[in-house]
Amino acid sequence: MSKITTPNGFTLDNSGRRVAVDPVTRIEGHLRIEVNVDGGNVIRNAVSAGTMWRGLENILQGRDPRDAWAFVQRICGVCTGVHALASVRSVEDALSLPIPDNANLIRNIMHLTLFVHDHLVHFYHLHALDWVDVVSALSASPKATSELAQSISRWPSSSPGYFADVQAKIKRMVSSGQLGPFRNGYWGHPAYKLPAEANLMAVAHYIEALNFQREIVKIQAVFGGKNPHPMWLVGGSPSPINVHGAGGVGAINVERLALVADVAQRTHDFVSQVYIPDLLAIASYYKDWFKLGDGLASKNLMSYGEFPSKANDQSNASLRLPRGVILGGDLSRIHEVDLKDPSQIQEFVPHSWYKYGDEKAGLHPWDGRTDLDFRLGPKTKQSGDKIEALDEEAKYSYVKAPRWKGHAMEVGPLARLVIAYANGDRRIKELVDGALKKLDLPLPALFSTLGRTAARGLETQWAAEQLIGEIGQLVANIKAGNSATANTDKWEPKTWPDTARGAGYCEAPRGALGHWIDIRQGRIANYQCVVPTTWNASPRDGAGAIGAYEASLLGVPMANPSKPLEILRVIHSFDPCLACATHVVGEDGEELTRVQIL
Amino acid sequence: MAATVVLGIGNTLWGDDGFGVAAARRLAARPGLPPQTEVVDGGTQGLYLLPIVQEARNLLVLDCVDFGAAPGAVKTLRDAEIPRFFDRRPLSLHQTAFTDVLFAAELTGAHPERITLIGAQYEDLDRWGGGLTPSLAAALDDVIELALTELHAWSSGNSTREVSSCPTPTPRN
Repeated sequence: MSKITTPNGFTLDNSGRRVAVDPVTRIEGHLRIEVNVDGGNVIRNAVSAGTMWRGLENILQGRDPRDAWAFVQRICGVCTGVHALASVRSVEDALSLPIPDNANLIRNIMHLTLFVHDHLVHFYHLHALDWVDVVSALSASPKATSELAQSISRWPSSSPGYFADVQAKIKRMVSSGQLGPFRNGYWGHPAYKLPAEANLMAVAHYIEALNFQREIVKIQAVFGGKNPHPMWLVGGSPSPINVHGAGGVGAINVERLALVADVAQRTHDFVSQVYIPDLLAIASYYKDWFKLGDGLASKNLMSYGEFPSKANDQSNASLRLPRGVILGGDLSRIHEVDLKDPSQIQEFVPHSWYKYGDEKAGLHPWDGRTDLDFRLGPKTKQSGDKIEALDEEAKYSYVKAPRWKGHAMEVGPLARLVIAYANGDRRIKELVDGALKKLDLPLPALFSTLGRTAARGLETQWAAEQLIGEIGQLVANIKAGNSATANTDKWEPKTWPDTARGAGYCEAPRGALGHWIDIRQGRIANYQCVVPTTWNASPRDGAGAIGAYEASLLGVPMANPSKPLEILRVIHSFDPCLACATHVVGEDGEELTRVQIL
Repeated sequence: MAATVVLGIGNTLWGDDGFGVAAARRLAARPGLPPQTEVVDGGTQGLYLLPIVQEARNLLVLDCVDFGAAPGAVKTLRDAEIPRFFDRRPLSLHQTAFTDVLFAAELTGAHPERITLIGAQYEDLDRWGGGLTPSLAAALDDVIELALTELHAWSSGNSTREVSSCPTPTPRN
């Protein structure tokens, strides 16, 4: 190959210099990105490879379906709740087991809380340093920083003295050489554009966001019984409601509900007075990044939908974020998604290190297989044991290639917001149009690196508002005397059919997550997960169509290929989480990113 | 949050990587824990463990680590020794090194007064779903005894620094 056009309409040219980044830092799990740049250092070919293998499904076989959530929540470092939720939903779907209203509300509350928490951590602690130069913050004037902060928000921590303290702290840290999480930055890179004061303000809020986690986790602890690793239950929610109880262990009472309502309000204030103003201020200095990194975004977007307003109703009349697919950029039509239709969601492996009986076939997750087949292509460039360049014409990733009706899809907050927008959701339209107006950008600007980052922020605002509403609804239910939280009608396996198959959906913070379960004689016969990062980090499929990461990198210019900050910006905008998409085989301690230019 | 927190970290699906969590669970079931001690299954939550670290006055971390020693060898590190060690490798299979969590705690001005890490040398992290290897399973009791000694020293107000500067790794074959 030198120059080719993919079936999904992208031109790839691998004739230029090859740059390999391994691993991409500040993400969960291991991801390797290789690109070819042309003479002007513009990316013309991209290869996304998960370098860890996942065999999760194989260890669930033969286990009790009611316990599956406790195993699957360990697949990932951070998003434990999403796997647990998809898992209990898959079992409830298989057994046709409805859950009580309160359980639906409690799940919504826990999941909305996770959205806010996860998005906040992503913005400040995983993604902000792609835009914020920590070292530049040292030269800021605390007084000017205070003026800047007060001009964009009424958040109280904004005095010159406050910013001077933060600056002194960073100075001590830099001079002692203990950079901690700031050690891997490309400080001073020409692609950093923020004035020193904006950098200092953002670093101050990085620290405040760290502290704010202490508040947010209280909600998970109340409803999940403990944190981390809250408890889940097939058939409902494990926390009993005991309104007037003085706080029996794990019980939801008046005092705890008041605490939850208070935390939700403060979370809302933090998001609307810190996160959103920071997001808009930073974005205003990087408007060119609303044109870069589109990839599949302006073409194919998918969401399984989330937050049912009515228990057990997964129709779009009930889902607060609708389910659907946008195809070919046509926002006037939302296609229906059915997780159980064997012709819709399928995974392919011609470029993945797995084997199928028929390599050309796509397998629906109910028939899915996870059999390892690690083979490098003949054009792989190696130096000793080290791979210098993968051969993307052969198998090159531990991530499978999932497709919806044969199409590669982007999933995540941008997909959810655009589908809700296209579906006419009033509040989402207000939020999106409002942000675009403030930044003086047209709607298509969303289909970009910063469009993804902005969508995540706006979704956080939306989720914080919904959180307050759901807590109010739960309190109202309880006041009306409804305290049921679990349906135990089908707890005993003897009440189950001999065989049952179910699909559990969940919109994780980073996108569409599905769990498929096949139950036989009360035990798990097969279990498959298709996680959000599998969609976004997908390798090529048999026809050569590329996935979302690969597509989004095309056309992105790099200032200096040996300091691939631009690649980090694009890939981080998806909030990758490879931990559950794949599985480690990397060497221990090999933490430093190698950037190799051939 | 209690004055003293025992934090077991690692992935229970990942062979020996689950050592810290297994040790924490066994410790929590033991009688004789000093009062005001909470045992937490931290999993691989990385930065999400920050609130727990921030609110602990004394922090005891149990984990499987790579000392380059024989499988099952146990080593105790205290305070400043910990970042020096962890800076060289990620938190087990996790990208956020545990030092980043400690560093974040320091950044926010809420840092435990005392931190001890008791780690066991792992043998095999690739036993997906396979549980601990025999050498690591055999190290559990040693680690729990060391943990209890440390916790009681804290609870009686003494730092164990003078008592046992660094329990020697016990190589196993």
